[in-house]
Amino acid sequence: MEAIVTTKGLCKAYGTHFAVDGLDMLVPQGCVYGFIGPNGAGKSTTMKLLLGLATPSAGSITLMGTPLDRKGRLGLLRQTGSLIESPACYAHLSAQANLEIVAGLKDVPRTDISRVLEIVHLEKDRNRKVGQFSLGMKQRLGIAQALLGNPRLLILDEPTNGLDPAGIQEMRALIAAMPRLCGATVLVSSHLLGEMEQMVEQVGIINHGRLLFQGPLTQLQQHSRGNISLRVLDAAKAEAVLQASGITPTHEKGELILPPLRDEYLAELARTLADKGAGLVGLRIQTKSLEDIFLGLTAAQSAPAAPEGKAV
Amino acid sequence: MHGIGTALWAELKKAHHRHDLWVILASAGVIIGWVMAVECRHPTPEDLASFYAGLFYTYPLVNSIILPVAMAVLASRLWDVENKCDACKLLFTLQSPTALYTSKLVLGGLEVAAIAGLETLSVPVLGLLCHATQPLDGTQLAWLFFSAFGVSLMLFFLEFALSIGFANQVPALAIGLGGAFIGLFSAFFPAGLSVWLPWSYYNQLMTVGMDWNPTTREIHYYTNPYPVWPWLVLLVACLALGFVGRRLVERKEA
Repeated sequence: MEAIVTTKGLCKAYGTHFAVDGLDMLVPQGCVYGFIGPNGAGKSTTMKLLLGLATPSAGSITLMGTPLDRKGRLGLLRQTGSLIESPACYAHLSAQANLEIVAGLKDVPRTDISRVLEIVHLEKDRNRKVGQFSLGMKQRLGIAQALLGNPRLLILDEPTNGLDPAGIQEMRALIAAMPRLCGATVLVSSHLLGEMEQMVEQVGIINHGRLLFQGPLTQLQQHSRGNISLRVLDAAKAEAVLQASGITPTHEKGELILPPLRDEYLAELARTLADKGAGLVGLRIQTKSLEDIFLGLTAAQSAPAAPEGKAV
Repeated sequence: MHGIGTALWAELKKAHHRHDLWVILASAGVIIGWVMAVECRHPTPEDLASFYAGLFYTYPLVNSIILPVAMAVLASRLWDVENKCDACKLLFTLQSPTALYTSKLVLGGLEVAAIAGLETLSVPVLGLLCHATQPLDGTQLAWLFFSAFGVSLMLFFLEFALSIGFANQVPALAIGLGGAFIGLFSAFFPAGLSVWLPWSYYNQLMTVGMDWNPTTREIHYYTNPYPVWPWLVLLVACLALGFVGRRLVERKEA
């Protein structure tokens, strides 16, 4: 699949602190790409770099196959829409007037305003002053601004921040539908993994400015294999067998807990436990939530223990 | 697109409902009202014979009190509209920082010209209303407009740079207020000091002076040559402040 965003060795330093540190990012065209990381991980800085709002200390950015440089920046960004942190709407003006300003600066026909207002369900409020809008409505107006001119790439930084549960649900549905509704690729950031699971196909996990994982969400979910719990009739015999195999189990609610093991090795171990009379009556593989994988990845960043495969 | 024309159109759109027009009208109204209160109350035939000289003397004095504050208010409102909604992160993806800055300067310049224009227009109107007998000197009238516009524009550039530099608009407004006091008393400062005070230039560009005789309580107006050097200072100051302001906007990483 063709990449719409590519970064190579992208760095942004503030003094001696690297907010973004050697980022190699690849966002395939036509997908919703979730950019996940804890607060302060470097998500917003990366997005600002992609929009030319901050100058990289090192590395390169390619948008839609064209290198992002100072000269051609505005031309390239004409094909993008963005919402960084909070919507930039003038409170003393109506939604219509706000969109007219953006449409004028983007050189987009005014007729496009009705289309984007319809997408974000703000047609009825188009003549209301934005100062009277709820946060959710402002956020939707921010998305409408980003959608003006049918951009090929939408960059949305934590678009569900501060929304109530209903607003969050509505925003997620809106974002997930963007490729279908507008044909746009969406790069969306969040620190909430659960939220991402519901709307993205591709994932990038960032912490301390470094990309820890990048790839399809399904691939990340493959890393969800967790500990193994064993229910045995004779725990002492089972423990002896396990320790002889170099495994030190822990105890939890009357069960023995083992670290994740390869399937072949686990089958061999189960047979040995049965042969040695441990009375294996139950074996269950605990599934990690995406949250746990994320925490595991970010916690293990200092140690070289990223998941095999596409971890970077 | 993305020329200054589109950027200026966007600025005019943003100015809608921002009531800049009221600031312009209020500033000009206070100045004209003040001058009327001084010059137009029960004028004697002697007063009417030197009516316009009195206006050309009083207007710069009142300007030096009112216009520094007005410039701070206009400049602050012009930039604060972007601060309030954190708009730079969106605008800088649509237009260059230079286009944004230049369009705001042009709009601000037009607003300053509107105040100076209203003030200038009031001179012949007041003359007609008060039945002035002194002939109106067109050169003095043009001088009043250009000096009010030129000095105010320099102060606007200064205040605009301060508004960009500080997210909080209090410093810009405080300097505007302080400047009003400095401008008022700058006539009493030594020339070596006044030259460094931007707010003193309303007085430095005055071409009408006044002698007041405490015994006879009579006022005698006289004219001075048109000074050139303050214009050079204004030009250099505007260029320098414009450059500083533009750099501040360009360096604003949203």
